[in-house]
Amino acid sequence: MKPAIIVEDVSVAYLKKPVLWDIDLTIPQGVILGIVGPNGAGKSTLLKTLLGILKPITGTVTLPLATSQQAPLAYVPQKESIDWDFPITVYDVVMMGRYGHMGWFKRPQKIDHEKVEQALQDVGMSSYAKIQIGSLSGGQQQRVFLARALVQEAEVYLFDEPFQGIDAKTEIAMMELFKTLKAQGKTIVVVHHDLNTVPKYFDWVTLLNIRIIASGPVADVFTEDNIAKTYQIDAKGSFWRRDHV
Amino acid sequence: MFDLGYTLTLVMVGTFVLGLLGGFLGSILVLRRQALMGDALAHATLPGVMLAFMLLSTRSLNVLLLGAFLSAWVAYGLMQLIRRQTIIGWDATMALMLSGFFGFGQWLLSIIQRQGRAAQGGLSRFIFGQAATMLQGDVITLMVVSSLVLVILLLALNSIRSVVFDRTHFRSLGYSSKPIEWLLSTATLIFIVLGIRLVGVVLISALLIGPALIARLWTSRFSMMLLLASVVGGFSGAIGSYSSATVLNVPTGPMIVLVLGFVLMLSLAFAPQEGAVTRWRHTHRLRRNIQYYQSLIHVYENPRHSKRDVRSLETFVAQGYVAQSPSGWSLTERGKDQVEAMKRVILDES
Repeated sequence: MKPAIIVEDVSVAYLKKPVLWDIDLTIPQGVILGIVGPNGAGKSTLLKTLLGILKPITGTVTLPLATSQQAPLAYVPQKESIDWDFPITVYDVVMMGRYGHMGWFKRPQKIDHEKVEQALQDVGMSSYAKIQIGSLSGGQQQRVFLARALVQEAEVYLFDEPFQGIDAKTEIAMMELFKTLKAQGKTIVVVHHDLNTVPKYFDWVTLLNIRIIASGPVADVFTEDNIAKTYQIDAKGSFWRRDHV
Repeated sequence: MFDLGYTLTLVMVGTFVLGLLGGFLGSILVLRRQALMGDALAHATLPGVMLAFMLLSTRSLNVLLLGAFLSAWVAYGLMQLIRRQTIIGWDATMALMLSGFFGFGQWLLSIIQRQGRAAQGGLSRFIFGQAATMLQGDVITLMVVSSLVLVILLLALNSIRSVVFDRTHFRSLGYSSKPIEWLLSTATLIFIVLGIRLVGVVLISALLIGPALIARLWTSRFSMMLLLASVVGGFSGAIGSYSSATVLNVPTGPMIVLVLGFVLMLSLAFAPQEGAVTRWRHTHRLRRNIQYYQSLIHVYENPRHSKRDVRSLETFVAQGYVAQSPSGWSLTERGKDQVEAMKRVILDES
């Protein structure tokens, strides 16, 4: 398998605390990968580092599949980070995904409108195009941001907690979409917090707690031993956190 | 002395353009949740005006405004520094800068007044604004600069909207959000410096926030919000400067606030979706309908064993909602439509 993302020797720190410590990670093309770990494990930080928003103190992130014409990663934010009262329609949110293809003084072309309409159709939201995003249900809101990622036509899709607070119908639709993207050779990276659903959603998993504990196919890596190491559970099953200073 | 009609017209056009920019820029600030930023920066201009007057002994408006710009710029820099390097929150930082700089400016003003220097009379006008005393050249400068800033904002509008709505996504596309953030702060500083002489440092933020809030109540579309806010800002600016110069002879700032406050209250009550009266009427109508159609809803939800007696359903037979068959009561197509329409509204079913 060709690698889609290569992370080498990445460390990130705020003040004195390391948030990511010496991360080496290779994500192969065409997997559906979940990044799991406890609160404060650096999941969001790793995501921002992959996106290129956060500059690591040491190390590099390489995206071998990236072409110069497009943003290599399409990002779907956590629902909580969005201002749902913002006066913007479904259509305009999706169009933002095309801005990577335009310049600073962005003006959408015919092709951009076509791509947006196609993506809205793909996620079943065509009839909501003119609606303000706040009046959608949770699942519909998720699908809008999915459509925005789709129009970016990226090689890698990055999701931040996409399964949080969605209905069963959207959950199934989302898993279907992951499989479709995978079949097209796309790579899907998902920040996820629910251990129970890992085998259901993902074929690869990265266990993270400041360091990489393990990374690989779910069948090989998602073991009780590794989970215990990640969540630092002692024999009685209770949690304790080491202080990383 | 001069043709008052011409000067007044010029001042009104000037404040119209200023209000236009205020509504436009203010909408963006409100959506960025930085409604207080304009207020803090405006108050922070006062010491700059006073210092420029004291150190350079000049009445030249352009020099005083340069002082205002520098002082607000220092305040902005301090705000960013405090936010990054201390545990003081953003809201407290803004409140701190607002009161600190304004207090310092007032102290300087009282010193100047005590010295009794000639020509200090104009300085207190910076606090509440007096549009009518502007000179022709000042108004023309105001119009040219406002229009220029407006055009630049319009050109970058799609990028601005992206940054304000979802900064992380914008950056994930490979752009830096810094140029846009810099553009917005600079535009805000310029707007304030242009406006303080007309509207005053205390109330100029009304011209940023008022039109934006009014517009948001009437529309859920970004571009429409900006357009509406610009128009509202423009007219309230012009009305403020007109009444300040003629009929009422009050400072411009308070007049603009009165106009905006009146329109805002009307909007809060009667706006098509968010208005209080509108919402109350919708709720009221819905509750009345549920009570009135209760027996229809019952038949709809329990089609097989309807226990309703004839009396409560008879009125609906006449209206064509219900039909009686040997097996009991059943809804007609019309009756089903009626219940389903209500369910759509109440249960938000699509």
